[in-house]
Parts: sequence; structure tokens; C-alpha cells
Amino acid sequence: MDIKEKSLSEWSGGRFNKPNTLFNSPLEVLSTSGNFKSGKLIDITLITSDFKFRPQIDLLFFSEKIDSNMKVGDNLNLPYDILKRCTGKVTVLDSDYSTIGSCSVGNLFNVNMTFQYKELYVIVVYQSLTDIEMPKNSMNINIGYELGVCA
Amino acid sequence: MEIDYRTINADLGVSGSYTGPNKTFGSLIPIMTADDKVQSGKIHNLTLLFSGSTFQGNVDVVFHSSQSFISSVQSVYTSSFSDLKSILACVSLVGTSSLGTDFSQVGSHMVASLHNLNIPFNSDGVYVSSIFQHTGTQSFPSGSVWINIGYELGGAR
Repeated sequence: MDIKEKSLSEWSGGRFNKPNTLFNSPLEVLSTSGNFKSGKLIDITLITSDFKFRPQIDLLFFSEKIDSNMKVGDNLNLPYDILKRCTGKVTVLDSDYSTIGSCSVGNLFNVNMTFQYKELYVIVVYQSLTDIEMPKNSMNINIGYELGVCA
Repeated sequence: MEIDYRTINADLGVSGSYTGPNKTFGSLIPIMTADDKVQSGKIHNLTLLFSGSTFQGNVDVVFHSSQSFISSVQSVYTSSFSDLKSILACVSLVGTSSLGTDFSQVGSHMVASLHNLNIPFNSDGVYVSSIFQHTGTQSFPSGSVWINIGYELGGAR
């Protein structure tokens, strides 16, 4: 069984204070050389650089590349023709985080979301009225997953 | 052993105006067919995607191990007991309750996901029907509700 972990560390940062806003540009989680692959997301770990940063977010996974003109911090404007291809949503609440040293760490276990993909992307949506200003690259998301047989 | 993970993304077949609970929401959707061979597997996760952000009700999703008869969309959900007694599972997606909601507003649309369903099947097909469980009236354009299901296949028997 091929079990792996992927780290997403490139975050634009910015000020966020209203729900349903784009938290980051769409991130590539996995890609293949052109063949479909299958797998399952197992767990998600979120680490922020400050214990005050506990962003309440939705992670939306897509099995294809997401090209959009959306701007980070703006109200999300995602056409339904793209959204309906979403393979799953994972909600992270502010109560999912713990203060660890000077940072925050949130963990979601047993995500167990299957995927088939050539390119697996995630869109992150801020979903809180809490006002936070996050510096660039002040967050990391580590995703544990396993690969299955090719479809 | 590498596992054969699959996903299916489909139009739920919802269309028109729905009033009151226990109405057939979408048509019967095949999510796995095995050409008369018995296939085992397990359903992991389910996502419903709504065009528009006004829906507040609940939706039940029923997994069938055979091609059962269900009533037409918008009418009272009718299925014989002999069909229903062999269903694999009934899963509820909650619009609003004191415990919160399964739905998120994403842009001008809504998304709900359920994980860790862990519903085993061992049949020559798996089908999904859906039931509108809202006390009010709601209209849905054709093609405005999609479903995504993640599952794995086991060894055929």
C-alpha cells in the first residue's frame, strides 16, 4: 500500500473578516504524468505560525485543474459548472485547533475521501466573521493519503 | 495490496417544484453496475452540490443494492417494502438543526459532504435515490443538484 504525505506551504496571506471569501489561490495537491490515478485522503493537519490564527475554512477538492480569475480575499465567485465537479468538502472549525507553543495546530483524522484524478486541486474558503491578518506563508497544510490502483 | 478507489459524479436528476417532506427528490442513479456479476465494495463519502444558496431543508440519500422502483420526482416517495427492506443504507444530510448544518455556502452555491459512511455492498449494482425532506416549497432548475460519491471495490465473489 502506497501511503504518502503532501505539504501545502505556499499561502498568499492577507486580511480576512467575512465568510465565503477565497483564502488562497487554488493549490495543486497531486498531479500525474497524464494517467488517471486513484486514492484516498486519510488525514489533514493544519499548522499556523501564530496561536491567534485559527482560520475556520472549507477545503474543496477537485479532480481537475481549477483555472479561475478569483482573487484572494474576495467573495468567492465559482461557477456552478466548476463547483459541481467537487469531489468533497472538508470543514475546519476554529475549535479544531490547539495552541502548541506559539503556533496553532489543527488535525482532522479519518477524512477517508476517495479520489480519481489526473490533477487533484483544493480551493480554500474562509468561513468566519473573525478578523485575522495572516502574513504570507504563515500556514501549512499536511495531507496524508494513500494511492490505489490506477482506474 | 492497492485498493481500487472510485468516484462517480452525476446529475441527481432533480427538477421542478417540491413541497413538503418525503418527496422523491432525484431520479434513481446507478453508481456501480457489475454486469450480472456480484461485486463487493464500500461507500466512503458523499457530496451534494446545489446551484444557488437558498436551500435549507434536509435530504435523505438511500443506497439500493438493486434497481428498485421509486415514484417520479416531486411526488410522495413511494417504494415497495420488498424493495426497501433490502436497501444498503439511508444517509441524511442536514440543512438546519440545533447541532448545525452539513451545508456550506461556497460562492453563490451550497456544498454538503459526509465522510466515513463505510457502507459495504455485495451486489451486481448499487443505485441511489434521494428524498426531499423540507416542510416548505422549493424549486430547482434541471441540472441544479449534483452528487459525488467515493467508494472502493473489493474482490469480486
